[in-house]
Amino acid sequence: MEKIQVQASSPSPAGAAEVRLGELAARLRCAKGHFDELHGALKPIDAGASGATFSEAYGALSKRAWAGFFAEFGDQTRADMNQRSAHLARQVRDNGITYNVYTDEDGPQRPWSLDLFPLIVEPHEWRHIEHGVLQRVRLLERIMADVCGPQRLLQAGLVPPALVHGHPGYLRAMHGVQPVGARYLHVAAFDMARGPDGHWWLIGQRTQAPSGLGYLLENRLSISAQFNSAFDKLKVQRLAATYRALMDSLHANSPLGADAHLALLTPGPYNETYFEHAYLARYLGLTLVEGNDLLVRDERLYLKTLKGLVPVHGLLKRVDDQYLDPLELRADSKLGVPGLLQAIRAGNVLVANAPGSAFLESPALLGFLPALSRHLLGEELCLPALPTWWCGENSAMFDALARLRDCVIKPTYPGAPGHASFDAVLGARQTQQALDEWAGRIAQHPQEHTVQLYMPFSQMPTWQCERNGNEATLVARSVMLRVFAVADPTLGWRVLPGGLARVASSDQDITSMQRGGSSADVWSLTDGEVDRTTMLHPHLTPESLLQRKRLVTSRAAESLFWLGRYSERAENALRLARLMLESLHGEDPNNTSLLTWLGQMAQANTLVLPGVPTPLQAPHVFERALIDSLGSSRGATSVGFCLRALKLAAAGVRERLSQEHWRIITRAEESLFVRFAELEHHGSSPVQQALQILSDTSDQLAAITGAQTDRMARDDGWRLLSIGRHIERLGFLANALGLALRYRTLESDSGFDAVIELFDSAITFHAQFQQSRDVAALVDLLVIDRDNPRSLSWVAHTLRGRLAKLAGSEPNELSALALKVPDPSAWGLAQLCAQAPDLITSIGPAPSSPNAAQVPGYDLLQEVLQRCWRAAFEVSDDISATYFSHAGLVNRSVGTQ
Amino acid sequence: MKLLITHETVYDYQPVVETAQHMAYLTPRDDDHQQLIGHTLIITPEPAHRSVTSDVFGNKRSFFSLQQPHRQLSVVATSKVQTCASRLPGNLVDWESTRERFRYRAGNAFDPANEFVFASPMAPSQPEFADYARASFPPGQSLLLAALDVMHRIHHDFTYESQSTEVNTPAAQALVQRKGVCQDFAHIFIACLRSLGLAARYVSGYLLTAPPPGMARLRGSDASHAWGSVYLPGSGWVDMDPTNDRAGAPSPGEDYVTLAIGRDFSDVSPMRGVIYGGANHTLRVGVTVEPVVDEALPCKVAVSDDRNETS
Repeated sequence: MEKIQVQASSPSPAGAAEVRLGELAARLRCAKGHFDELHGALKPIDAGASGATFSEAYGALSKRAWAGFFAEFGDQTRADMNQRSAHLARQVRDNGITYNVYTDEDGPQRPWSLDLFPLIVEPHEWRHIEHGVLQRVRLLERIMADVCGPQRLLQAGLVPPALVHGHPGYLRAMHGVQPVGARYLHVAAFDMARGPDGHWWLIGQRTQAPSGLGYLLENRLSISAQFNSAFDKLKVQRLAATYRALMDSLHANSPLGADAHLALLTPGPYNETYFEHAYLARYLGLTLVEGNDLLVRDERLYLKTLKGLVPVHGLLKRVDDQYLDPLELRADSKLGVPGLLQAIRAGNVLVANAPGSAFLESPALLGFLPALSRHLLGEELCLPALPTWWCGENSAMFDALARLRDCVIKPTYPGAPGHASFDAVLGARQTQQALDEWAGRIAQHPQEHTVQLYMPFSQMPTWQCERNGNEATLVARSVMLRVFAVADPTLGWRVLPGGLARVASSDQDITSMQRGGSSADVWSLTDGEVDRTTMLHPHLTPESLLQRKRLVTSRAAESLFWLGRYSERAENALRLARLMLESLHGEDPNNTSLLTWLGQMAQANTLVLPGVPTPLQAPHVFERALIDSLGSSRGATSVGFCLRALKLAAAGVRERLSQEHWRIITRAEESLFVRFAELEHHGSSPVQQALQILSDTSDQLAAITGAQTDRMARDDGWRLLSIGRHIERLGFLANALGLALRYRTLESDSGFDAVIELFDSAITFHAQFQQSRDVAALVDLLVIDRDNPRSLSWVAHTLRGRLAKLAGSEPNELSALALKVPDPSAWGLAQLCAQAPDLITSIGPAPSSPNAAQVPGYDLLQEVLQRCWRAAFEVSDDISATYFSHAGLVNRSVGTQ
Repeated sequence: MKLLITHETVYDYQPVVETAQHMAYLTPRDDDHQQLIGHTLIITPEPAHRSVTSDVFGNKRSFFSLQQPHRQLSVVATSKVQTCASRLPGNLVDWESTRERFRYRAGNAFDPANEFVFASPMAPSQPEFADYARASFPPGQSLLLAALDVMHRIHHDFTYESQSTEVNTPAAQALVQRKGVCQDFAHIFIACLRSLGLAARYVSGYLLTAPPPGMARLRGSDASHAWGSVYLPGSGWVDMDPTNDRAGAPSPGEDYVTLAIGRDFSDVSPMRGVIYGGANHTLRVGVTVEPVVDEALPCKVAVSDDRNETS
């Protein structure tokens, strides 16, 4: 995209900060040859150069709806706009709106990029778009039905076989299948742009799993809140009624009608648009599922839940067709459901859109649509596509080769294995030699190439924050509009009045989110009624409510379980690390028994890497290693590792967490890593700084715990989270106390205090026992006390109760799993504190410790601690086997010749 | 010729398979050229669900699912087929005009064979195939003679070596190695013709093999077979078997049985499935093809082959 010139008014002594938004808007120039969305013309009036007054410039603007928009904010200063912009960025981040650029799990989730200003489309313009899109989507449905059926269009020569039979997206397995509800398409996206002539031109279409329906909702919420007065005054058409229509239509077309259970099928959290899958599922009231949440039995689709199999009657899919069913499509797919195509063929499940529509997405098809429209609809297309030549047809290839410089070269089968795949190539940007090489490639593999006329996209105003010393200002950026058509139960189709505008970053003209563009809300204005339907009152029957309550997928259950475990593990690691740093710099830095205990705990919990010397051998080396590991997610499983694991587990159940909960988690994780990275670079007094970071993180973890205990519905999913937490606590505390006994840590005051501190029970202890350091008192509080949530007794008791409830046991009855947790009511203080081993009948073999002979008594206590510690492991394994493993089983493909 | 085919497939799993879904292409085609007189498909353990449908190419496919844990799966297809005599058509249409026929231009008549011009997963479009094929296609050459020449050359240039390739060996690799099994030869043959814009398809089936002179027929010693087929405008499909250097329509010979037709192996794999559990499995496939002398009962099959293999 060409450089944007915003001509500042003659330098005024008052300073640039006084320039108002209205004036900036009036003077905004878009690049040569582009249509100006703001001023509504190819060439905006040249106010700055000709010395035209502000009001003259504004006069031209006032004919556009944008004038109404800037009228509301014209008085705002740069500072005001910067503030709005910053607020918007914060809101996007806080809402967790992300677009994953990289697909590996360590890759950054990039915050969704959203521009401050909406793209405003006037009522008459929108009517034209709407009409054109409706016509096109009806046409696509007819083509799809023909290709899946009689294929008369191929026989009539209206579609080249290469674009159907030769397209990898044409699914032979779906041929002859009449989908339930007798429609193939339910959602379709149309990408378009406005040309220099002021008309909208279609560029491409998406039918497999179009993205944007979730992001555009978030955009709408954010931007309408930013400019709520303009939003009301301009009569921006609302979106909810369209989503409602889609849901109603999906229900109406699914095998069970209004009572159907519908789900959204996502490839999972590593997909680049996962955020919107979760968001859309929640907004539409769909169960968010991944392929391995589902299974097919007797040609019916089921969801695996904690309570068994639940029928699913419809899927809104975001998984590409080829990955839907490893039995019949790509055998290596882990994203699909084996047997799904059978269930579709049997008419037992609606899949929107029906698999096999990918051939409609080829840009090559665009050139054939006008004739197809005349043939199938008897109509001319009223929304034209950019002239497009499929080179597989000789005459078209010669036409295209003659004008490559004015065109964009696109792959006919983008991303298909065994076919040419490349990013679209802008002819005008190529050297003559490069262009000749392209011509050669085209002539050699004509079918693989499609050539589309290049058109400069219209430009809209965007707010550019201060950057590289340039002050913040309005700039014009090229924009592409994605419009959605969705199924409507009565009208057949309707067009979402709005869309997703994609804005090019400065150096590009081809907009793509993966290449760093941004997005904008789309305000489609109406001169009729604003439709105020909301999605807030979905028609829920008592049955569907009940069903919805029960649905905890096995996969979600597993994520919740690990969320609980990592939350607790993060807290434990943090408390332990703090204790170590404080002890090394405390009143008693040479306390051997304390340091031995801490060193053992650090090893047992991998807070330092194996091989690091103990704090007794080399306190400074140990301390350095401990601090290094705090902010690392590799090797050691210290605080940073636990926080990241916590976030990943949370991401797996993102849709179940409150906004605040998710926000605290991401902030805690981000800030910890950022601050420790800074510490590495310029670390003076690293211990104090590390302690400060840990202290702040501790506050955040307390908030996370608070959100978990008080802000989540206490269903079986939550129960598993709580069980995960308590299993972790049981194992950690039992091990800590066992080691403290073994290494006589309790015999010194500082050791005694450290143990109580690690149990987070210092306040309670000192309130009860003041300065006394009696071991019996400690055992009473940390092991026996039923009111202390950090006592082993409390933890074991809670765990038994939750496990029993999860298993559906009657009150006061315990399940087999619950009985594996040691029964705290059998523990007596006198016995546990008895030191003379010969007075106690040992229940089992003494704890296996190399120096067991030298440690003082407490044999029964040690035995209890060992049993608690072992139970934590066993119960965790059993939970996996009982509740999760049917989701985790590896799915293998086998074949013969 | 009347032939009896017994095709037994046995999977042994370790550990057990919890649930499984399979799709089998084990029912011979029943059409104008070949009559299916009798067919049974015995699956052990008994599937919870099974169904038979026709695919887009008119092949019969059987789905079945197992919902009980099992350590072994046995699938025995027994088919009795009447085949007919084979001959080569006297078709001299040249290869260039055939290619032009499949090139899209407005008003060109549609030919269903066009579907088999395009690259498919196991017979991809790669310049190496065109390079190899070119020698058989001088200008003006008859398509039939050119295709026969490709078949002869593959038969001559390539070594049949049973362990040289895996089920999913790309044809290009076999082309470089100059060795493979019947499936590879069929894929190379198909890819060569398609690389020149011609229509070719994959045929899976069986071949009656003669026992060595003086020896009794060895049960289970046969294997399933595969070959290619080329489309001649005016005559239809002519089958060509590069492994045995035999060609003809509707099949290379009366001793051939056609199981299924597709773009390549991936369309008509005799068995494919998705299993839960069973990290390791061993597979035994045994095929017996024998002429039917009288209405004898289906014979007992000894499973001997230890590899997932075709001839």
